[in-house]
Amino acid sequence: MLIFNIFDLLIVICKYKKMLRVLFIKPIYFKLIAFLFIVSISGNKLWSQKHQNFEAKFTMMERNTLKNTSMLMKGNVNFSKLTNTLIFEINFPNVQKWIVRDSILKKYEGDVVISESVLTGYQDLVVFKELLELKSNDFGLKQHGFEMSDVSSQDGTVYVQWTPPPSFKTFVKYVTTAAKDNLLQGVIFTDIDDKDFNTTLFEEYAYVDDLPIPMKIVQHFEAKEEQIYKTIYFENVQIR
Amino acid sequence: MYYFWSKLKTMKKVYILFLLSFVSFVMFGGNDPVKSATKFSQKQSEVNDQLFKIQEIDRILKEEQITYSELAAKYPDLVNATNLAPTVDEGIFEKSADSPLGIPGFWWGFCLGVVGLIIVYVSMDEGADRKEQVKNALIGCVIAYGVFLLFYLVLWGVLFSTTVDASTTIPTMIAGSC
Repeated sequence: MLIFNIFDLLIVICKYKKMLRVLFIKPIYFKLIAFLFIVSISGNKLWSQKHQNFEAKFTMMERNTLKNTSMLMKGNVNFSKLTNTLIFEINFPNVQKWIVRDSILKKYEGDVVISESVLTGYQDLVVFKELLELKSNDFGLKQHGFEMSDVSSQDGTVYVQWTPPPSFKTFVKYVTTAAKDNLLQGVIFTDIDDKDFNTTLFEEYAYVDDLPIPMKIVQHFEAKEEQIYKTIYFENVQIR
Repeated sequence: MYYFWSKLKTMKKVYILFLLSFVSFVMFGGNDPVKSATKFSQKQSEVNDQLFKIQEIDRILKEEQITYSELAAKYPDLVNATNLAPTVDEGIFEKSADSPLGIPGFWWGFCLGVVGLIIVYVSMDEGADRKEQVKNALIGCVIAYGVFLLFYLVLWGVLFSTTVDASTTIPTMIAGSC
Protein backbone atom coordinates (compact mmCIF):
# COMPACT_ATOMS: atom_id res chain seq x y z
CA MET A 1 0.00 0.00 0.00
CA LEU A 2 1.26 3.38 -0.90
CA ILE A 3 1.67 5.42 2.20
CA PHE A 4 1.52 9.13 1.59
CA ASN A 5 3.84 10.83 4.00
CA ILE A 6 5.81 13.97 4.58
CA PHE A 7 8.30 13.06 1.89
CA ASP A 8 5.66 12.53 -0.73
CA LEU A 9 4.29 15.87 0.35
CA LEU A 10 7.68 17.44 -0.15
CA ILE A 11 7.91 15.97 -3.62
CA VAL A 12 4.49 17.42 -4.34
CA ILE A 13 5.68 20.78 -3.02
CA CYS A 14 8.82 20.74 -5.10
CA LYS A 15 7.53 19.34 -8.35
CA TYR A 16 3.78 19.61 -8.80
CA LYS A 17 3.48 23.13 -7.49
CA LYS A 18 5.82 24.34 -10.19
CA MET A 19 3.98 22.30 -12.79
CA LEU A 20 0.61 23.67 -11.71
CA ARG A 21 1.90 27.18 -12.03
CA VAL A 22 3.14 26.53 -15.53
CA LEU A 23 -0.35 25.36 -16.39
CA PHE A 24 -1.79 28.56 -14.85
CA ILE A 25 -3.68 26.54 -12.28
CA LYS A 26 -3.53 28.03 -8.83
CA PRO A 27 -2.63 25.23 -6.44
CA ILE A 28 -5.27 26.27 -3.93
CA TYR A 29 -5.50 22.85 -2.39
CA PHE A 30 -1.81 22.62 -1.74
CA LYS A 31 -2.00 24.99 1.22
CA LEU A 32 -5.09 23.28 2.49
CA ILE A 33 -3.52 19.84 2.38
CA ALA A 34 -0.37 21.16 4.02
CA PHE A 35 -2.47 22.76 6.74
CA LEU A 36 -4.53 19.64 7.32
CA PHE A 37 -1.32 17.67 7.51
CA ILE A 38 0.22 19.96 10.09
CA VAL A 39 -2.92 19.83 12.21
CA SER A 40 -2.94 16.09 11.79
CA ILE A 41 0.61 15.80 13.07
CA SER A 42 -0.49 17.08 16.43
CA GLY A 43 -3.04 14.38 16.75
CA ASN A 44 -0.89 11.56 15.51
CA LYS A 45 -0.14 10.16 18.91
CA LEU A 46 -3.75 9.31 19.47
CA TRP A 47 -3.41 6.10 17.59
CA SER A 48 -0.52 4.71 19.48
CA GLN A 49 -2.23 5.50 22.77
CA LYS A 50 -5.67 4.20 21.82
CA HIS A 51 -7.33 7.56 22.15
CA GLN A 52 -10.29 8.26 19.98
CA ASN A 53 -10.71 11.99 19.72
CA PHE A 54 -8.59 15.10 19.43
CA GLU A 55 -10.17 18.49 19.93
CA ALA A 56 -8.58 21.92 20.15
CA LYS A 57 -8.95 25.58 19.43
CA PHE A 58 -6.54 26.66 16.74
CA THR A 59 -5.13 29.86 15.32
CA MET A 60 -3.24 29.76 12.08
CA MET A 61 -1.37 32.70 10.65
CA GLU A 62 0.34 32.73 7.32
CA ARG A 63 2.26 35.18 5.20
CA ASN A 64 3.21 34.79 1.55
CA THR A 65 6.00 37.13 0.49
CA LEU A 66 5.51 36.72 -3.26
CA LYS A 67 1.83 37.57 -3.24
CA ASN A 68 2.25 39.93 -0.29
CA THR A 69 -0.80 38.38 1.33
CA SER A 70 -1.57 37.27 4.85
CA MET A 71 -4.12 34.96 6.33
CA LEU A 72 -5.40 34.58 9.83
CA MET A 73 -7.70 31.70 10.54
CA LYS A 74 -9.23 30.85 13.89
CA GLY A 75 -11.59 28.13 15.01
CA ASN A 76 -11.90 24.67 16.44
CA VAL A 77 -10.59 21.41 15.08
CA ASN A 78 -11.90 17.99 15.92
CA PHE A 79 -10.57 14.70 14.73
CA SER A 80 -12.48 11.53 15.43
CA LYS A 81 -10.83 8.19 14.90
CA LEU A 82 -14.13 6.35 15.15
CA THR A 83 -15.70 8.17 12.22
CA ASN A 84 -12.37 9.03 10.58
CA THR A 85 -13.62 12.59 10.28
CA LEU A 86 -11.77 15.85 10.54
CA ILE A 87 -13.96 18.84 11.32
CA PHE A 88 -12.92 22.47 11.26
CA GLU A 89 -15.29 25.04 12.67
CA ILE A 90 -13.81 28.27 11.41
CA ASN A 91 -14.99 31.51 12.98
CA PHE A 92 -12.48 33.96 11.49
CA PRO A 93 -12.18 35.58 8.94
CA ASN A 94 -15.58 34.17 7.95
CA VAL A 95 -17.74 31.53 9.55
CA GLN A 96 -17.44 28.21 7.78
CA LYS A 97 -17.46 24.57 8.65
CA TRP A 98 -15.20 22.13 6.85
CA ILE A 99 -15.77 18.44 7.10
CA VAL A 100 -13.17 16.07 5.69
CA ARG A 101 -14.22 12.46 5.42
CA ASP A 102 -12.85 9.81 3.04
CA SER A 103 -10.78 12.50 1.29
CA ILE A 104 -13.90 14.53 0.46
CA LEU A 105 -13.87 18.08 1.74
CA LYS A 106 -17.27 19.67 2.19
CA LYS A 107 -17.48 23.35 3.07
CA TYR A 108 -20.59 24.58 4.82
CA GLU A 109 -21.98 28.02 5.51
CA GLY A 110 -24.69 27.38 8.06
CA ASP A 111 -26.33 24.16 6.95
CA VAL A 112 -25.73 24.79 3.27
CA VAL A 113 -22.92 23.03 1.43
CA ILE A 114 -21.09 25.73 -0.49
CA SER A 115 -18.48 23.51 -2.05
CA GLU A 116 -17.42 19.95 -2.26
CA SER A 117 -14.07 18.76 -3.48
CA VAL A 118 -11.78 15.79 -3.44
CA LEU A 119 -8.49 16.25 -1.67
CA THR A 120 -6.19 14.08 -3.71
CA GLY A 121 -3.75 12.30 -1.50
CA TYR A 122 -5.44 13.29 1.71
CA GLN A 123 -6.87 9.88 2.44
CA ASP A 124 -3.39 8.47 2.29
CA LEU A 125 -2.21 11.37 4.33
CA VAL A 126 -4.56 10.35 7.11
CA VAL A 127 -2.45 7.25 7.45
CA PHE A 128 -0.49 9.38 9.86
CA LYS A 129 -1.79 6.99 12.47
CA GLU A 130 0.93 4.66 11.28
CA LEU A 131 3.53 7.35 11.45
CA LEU A 132 4.83 8.23 14.83
CA GLU A 133 7.32 10.84 13.81
CA LEU A 134 7.09 12.87 16.94
CA LYS A 135 7.32 9.83 19.14
CA SER A 136 10.38 8.50 17.36
CA ASN A 137 11.98 11.97 17.41
CA ASP A 138 13.32 11.56 13.91
CA PHE A 139 10.27 12.72 11.92
CA GLY A 140 10.08 9.25 10.39
CA LEU A 141 13.39 9.82 8.58
CA LYS A 142 14.97 6.51 9.56
CA GLN A 143 11.89 4.61 8.50
CA HIS A 144 12.13 6.22 5.07
CA GLY A 145 15.72 5.32 4.38
CA PHE A 146 17.52 8.39 5.70
CA GLU A 147 20.83 7.61 7.35
CA MET A 148 22.19 9.32 10.41
CA SER A 149 25.42 10.98 9.35
CA ASP A 150 26.29 13.02 12.41
CA VAL A 151 25.16 13.62 15.97
CA SER A 152 26.06 16.53 18.21
CA SER A 153 24.55 18.23 21.23
CA GLN A 154 24.44 21.57 22.93
CA ASP A 155 22.59 22.69 26.04
CA GLY A 156 20.67 19.44 26.22
CA THR A 157 19.47 19.61 22.62
CA VAL A 158 20.58 16.79 20.36
CA TYR A 159 21.14 17.72 16.70
CA VAL A 160 21.18 14.92 14.17
CA GLN A 161 22.13 15.30 10.55
CA TRP A 162 20.58 12.83 8.13
CA THR A 163 21.62 12.01 4.58
CA PRO A 164 18.79 11.09 2.22
CA PRO A 165 18.27 7.88 0.28
CA PRO A 166 19.02 8.07 -3.49
CA SER A 167 15.40 8.92 -4.39
CA PHE A 168 15.60 12.19 -2.45
CA LYS A 169 19.16 13.13 -3.37
CA THR A 170 18.01 15.10 -6.40
CA PHE A 171 16.58 17.81 -4.17
CA VAL A 172 17.51 17.08 -0.53
CA LYS A 173 21.13 17.40 0.51
CA TYR A 174 20.58 16.67 4.16
CA VAL A 175 18.06 17.01 6.96
CA THR A 176 18.75 18.29 10.44
CA THR A 177 16.58 17.37 13.42
CA ALA A 178 16.69 18.81 16.91
CA ALA A 179 15.35 16.98 19.96
CA LYS A 180 15.30 17.91 23.61
CA ASP A 181 14.10 15.79 26.52
CA ASN A 182 13.18 13.11 23.99
CA LEU A 183 10.82 15.50 22.19
CA LEU A 184 11.27 16.61 18.62
CA GLN A 185 11.92 20.36 18.54
CA GLY A 186 12.34 20.89 14.86
CA VAL A 187 13.38 19.65 11.47
CA ILE A 188 15.13 21.51 8.65
CA PHE A 189 15.35 20.24 5.08
CA THR A 190 18.34 21.59 3.15
CA ASP A 191 18.41 21.32 -0.62
CA ILE A 192 21.34 20.60 -2.93
CA ASP A 193 22.10 24.34 -3.15
CA ASP A 194 22.47 24.51 0.65
CA LYS A 195 19.17 26.38 0.97
CA ASP A 196 16.95 25.45 3.91
CA PHE A 197 13.77 25.05 1.92
CA ASN A 198 11.51 23.70 4.64
CA THR A 199 11.66 24.23 8.36
CA THR A 200 9.17 23.01 10.91
CA LEU A 201 9.55 23.77 14.60
CA PHE A 202 7.53 22.14 17.36
CA GLU A 203 7.35 24.39 20.37
CA GLU A 204 5.67 24.88 23.73
CA TYR A 205 4.96 21.23 24.45
CA ALA A 206 2.19 20.63 26.93
CA TYR A 207 1.19 17.30 28.40
CA VAL A 208 -2.43 16.49 27.73
CA ASP A 209 -3.56 13.20 29.18
CA ASP A 210 0.14 12.28 29.50
CA LEU A 211 0.73 12.97 25.83
CA PRO A 212 3.19 15.66 24.77
CA ILE A 213 1.45 18.00 22.33
CA PRO A 214 3.28 20.89 20.62
CA MET A 215 1.03 23.88 21.25
CA LYS A 216 2.89 25.94 18.67
CA ILE A 217 4.03 24.75 15.25
CA VAL A 218 6.17 27.11 13.22
CA GLN A 219 6.82 26.59 9.55
CA HIS A 220 8.89 28.27 6.90
CA PHE A 221 8.76 27.16 3.30
CA GLU A 222 11.10 28.73 0.80
CA ALA A 223 10.50 28.20 -2.90
CA LYS A 224 12.34 29.72 -5.84
CA GLU A 225 10.24 32.88 -5.81
CA GLU A 226 8.06 32.84 -2.75
CA GLN A 227 8.45 32.31 0.95
CA ILE A 228 5.63 31.14 3.15
CA TYR A 229 5.75 31.74 6.88
CA LYS A 230 3.23 29.96 9.01
CA THR A 231 2.46 29.49 12.67
CA ILE A 232 -0.25 27.37 14.22
CA TYR A 233 -1.26 27.68 17.85
CA PHE A 234 -3.38 25.21 19.75
CA GLU A 235 -5.37 25.93 22.88
CA ASN A 236 -7.69 23.92 25.08
CA VAL A 237 -6.48 20.64 23.71
CA GLN A 238 -8.64 17.73 24.74
CA ILE A 239 -7.84 14.13 24.06
CA ARG A 240 -10.38 11.47 24.82
CA MET B 1 64.58 -1.93 22.06
CA TYR B 2 65.16 0.16 18.95
CA TYR B 3 62.34 -1.70 17.19
CA PHE B 4 59.99 -0.93 20.11
CA TRP B 5 61.00 2.73 20.14
CA SER B 6 60.48 3.19 16.39
CA LYS B 7 57.11 1.42 16.63
CA LEU B 8 56.06 3.78 19.39
CA LYS B 9 57.08 6.79 17.29
CA THR B 10 55.05 5.48 14.37
CA MET B 11 52.01 4.96 16.60
CA LYS B 12 52.48 8.45 17.98
CA LYS B 13 52.34 9.81 14.44
CA VAL B 14 49.22 7.80 13.76
CA TYR B 15 47.59 9.15 16.92
CA ILE B 16 48.48 12.73 16.03
CA LEU B 17 47.18 12.24 12.52
CA PHE B 18 43.98 10.75 13.87
CA LEU B 19 43.57 13.60 16.34
CA LEU B 20 44.12 16.21 13.65
CA SER B 21 41.63 14.49 11.38
CA PHE B 22 39.07 14.38 14.16
CA VAL B 23 39.54 18.05 15.02
CA SER B 24 39.27 19.10 11.38
CA PHE B 25 36.15 16.94 10.96
CA VAL B 26 34.53 18.54 13.99
CA MET B 27 35.54 22.02 12.91
CA PHE B 28 34.79 21.86 9.19
CA GLY B 29 33.00 18.71 8.20
CA GLY B 30 30.77 17.60 11.05
CA ASN B 31 27.45 18.84 12.30
CA ASP B 32 28.47 21.83 14.38
CA PRO B 33 25.95 22.05 17.25
CA VAL B 34 26.41 25.81 17.60
CA LYS B 35 25.72 26.27 13.91
CA SER B 36 22.66 24.02 14.10
CA ALA B 37 21.34 25.79 17.20
CA THR B 38 21.84 29.16 15.50
CA LYS B 39 20.05 27.94 12.40
CA PHE B 40 17.00 26.81 14.38
CA SER B 41 16.82 29.99 16.47
CA GLN B 42 17.29 32.19 13.38
CA LYS B 43 14.39 30.44 11.65
CA GLN B 44 12.25 30.97 14.71
CA SER B 45 13.02 34.70 14.81
CA GLU B 46 12.54 35.05 11.06
CA VAL B 47 9.03 33.56 11.18
CA ASN B 48 8.15 35.63 14.25
CA ASP B 49 9.32 38.82 12.53
CA GLN B 50 7.33 38.06 9.39
CA LEU B 51 4.18 37.32 11.37
CA PHE B 52 4.54 40.18 13.82
CA LYS B 53 1.67 42.25 12.41
CA ILE B 54 -0.63 39.25 12.16
CA GLN B 55 0.19 38.48 15.80
CA GLU B 56 -0.92 42.03 16.56
CA ILE B 57 -4.21 41.44 14.71
CA ASP B 58 -4.70 38.21 16.63
CA ARG B 59 -4.16 40.06 19.90
CA ILE B 60 -6.81 42.63 18.90
CA LEU B 61 -9.25 39.87 17.96
CA LYS B 62 -8.75 38.19 21.33
CA GLU B 63 -9.27 41.41 23.23
CA GLU B 64 -12.12 42.90 21.24
CA GLN B 65 -13.89 39.82 19.83
CA ILE B 66 -14.66 41.50 16.51
CA THR B 67 -15.42 40.26 13.00
CA TYR B 68 -13.30 40.78 9.90
CA SER B 69 -15.41 43.69 8.64
CA GLU B 70 -15.28 45.39 12.05
CA LEU B 71 -11.54 44.85 12.15
CA ALA B 72 -11.13 46.30 8.64
CA ALA B 73 -13.21 49.33 9.60
CA LYS B 74 -11.48 49.98 12.90
CA TYR B 75 -7.90 49.11 11.94
CA PRO B 76 -7.68 49.73 8.16
CA ASP B 77 -3.96 50.45 8.24
CA LEU B 78 -3.16 47.15 9.88
CA VAL B 79 -5.43 45.17 7.55
CA ASN B 80 -4.05 46.92 4.47
CA ALA B 81 -0.45 46.60 5.61
CA THR B 82 -0.81 42.85 5.99
CA ASN B 83 -3.18 42.49 3.01
CA LEU B 84 -5.19 40.18 5.24
CA ALA B 85 -7.51 37.82 3.35
CA PRO B 86 -11.20 38.48 4.08
CA THR B 87 -12.16 34.85 3.56
CA VAL B 88 -10.53 31.53 4.19
CA ASP B 89 -9.86 30.59 0.61
CA GLU B 90 -10.74 32.68 -2.39
CA GLY B 91 -8.67 30.96 -5.03
CA ILE B 92 -8.54 32.65 -8.40
CA PHE B 93 -11.33 35.06 -7.48
CA GLU B 94 -9.20 36.91 -4.98
CA LYS B 95 -8.36 40.51 -5.63
CA SER B 96 -5.18 42.32 -4.91
CA ALA B 97 -5.01 45.46 -2.79
CA ASP B 98 -4.72 47.57 -5.92
CA SER B 99 -6.90 45.63 -8.34
CA PRO B 100 -8.52 48.02 -10.82
CA LEU B 101 -11.76 49.37 -9.26
CA GLY B 102 -11.37 46.73 -6.55
CA ILE B 103 -12.58 44.06 -8.96
CA PRO B 104 -10.60 40.82 -9.04
CA GLY B 105 -8.51 40.21 -12.15
CA PHE B 106 -10.51 37.08 -13.00
CA TRP B 107 -13.69 39.08 -13.64
CA TRP B 108 -11.86 41.67 -15.75
CA GLY B 109 -10.66 38.87 -18.00
CA PHE B 110 -13.97 37.06 -17.98
CA CYS B 111 -16.12 40.10 -18.85
CA LEU B 112 -13.82 42.08 -21.12
CA GLY B 113 -11.55 39.39 -22.48
CA VAL B 114 -8.18 40.57 -23.77
CA VAL B 115 -9.17 44.20 -23.11
CA GLY B 116 -9.78 43.35 -19.44
CA LEU B 117 -6.44 41.61 -19.29
CA ILE B 118 -4.74 44.72 -20.69
CA ILE B 119 -6.60 46.97 -18.23
CA VAL B 120 -5.35 44.85 -15.31
CA TYR B 121 -1.83 44.86 -16.70
CA VAL B 122 -1.68 48.61 -17.36
CA SER B 123 -3.45 49.83 -14.23
CA MET B 124 -1.45 47.85 -11.68
CA ASP B 125 2.07 48.47 -10.51
CA GLU B 126 4.71 46.00 -11.49
CA GLY B 127 5.20 43.17 -9.01
CA ALA B 128 3.95 39.85 -7.79
CA ASP B 129 0.40 41.13 -7.33
CA ARG B 130 0.14 42.28 -10.91
CA LYS B 131 1.53 38.98 -12.13
CA GLU B 132 -1.06 37.09 -10.09
CA GLN B 133 -3.98 39.27 -11.17
CA VAL B 134 -2.98 39.18 -14.84
CA LYS B 135 -2.77 35.41 -14.56
CA ASN B 136 -6.27 35.34 -13.04
CA ALA B 137 -7.50 37.68 -15.78
CA LEU B 138 -6.04 35.31 -18.36
CA ILE B 139 -7.88 32.40 -16.75
CA GLY B 140 -11.09 34.47 -16.80
CA CYS B 141 -10.45 35.37 -20.42
CA VAL B 142 -9.88 31.75 -21.46
CA ILE B 143 -12.96 30.57 -19.57
CA ALA B 144 -15.06 33.34 -21.18
CA TYR B 145 -13.86 32.39 -24.65
CA GLY B 146 -14.45 28.73 -23.84
CA VAL B 147 -18.01 29.48 -22.77
CA PHE B 148 -18.54 31.62 -25.89
CA LEU B 149 -17.12 28.92 -28.15
CA LEU B 150 -19.32 26.30 -26.52
CA PHE B 151 -22.36 28.52 -26.93
CA TYR B 152 -21.42 29.21 -30.57
CA LEU B 153 -20.96 25.51 -31.34
CA VAL B 154 -24.24 24.56 -29.69
CA LEU B 155 -26.02 27.37 -31.56
CA TRP B 156 -24.59 26.31 -34.91
CA GLY B 157 -25.26 22.70 -34.06
CA VAL B 158 -28.92 23.52 -33.54
CA LEU B 159 -29.08 25.65 -36.71
CA PHE B 160 -27.31 22.99 -38.77
CA SER B 161 -29.63 20.25 -37.61
CA THR B 162 -32.61 22.51 -38.48
CA THR B 163 -31.16 23.12 -41.96
CA VAL B 164 -30.66 19.41 -42.55
CA ASP B 165 -34.24 18.77 -41.48
CA ALA B 166 -35.42 21.54 -43.79
CA SER B 167 -33.43 20.20 -46.72
CA THR B 168 -34.98 16.79 -46.27
CA THR B 169 -38.46 18.21 -45.93
CA ILE B 170 -38.49 20.93 -48.57
CA PRO B 171 -37.95 18.73 -51.65
CA THR B 172 -40.93 16.65 -50.64
CA MET B 173 -42.97 19.80 -50.25
CA ILE B 174 -41.69 21.10 -53.55
CA ALA B 175 -42.36 17.78 -55.13
CA GLY B 176 -45.85 17.83 -53.61
CA SER B 177 -46.57 21.32 -54.86
CA CYS B 178 -45.34 20.43 -58.28
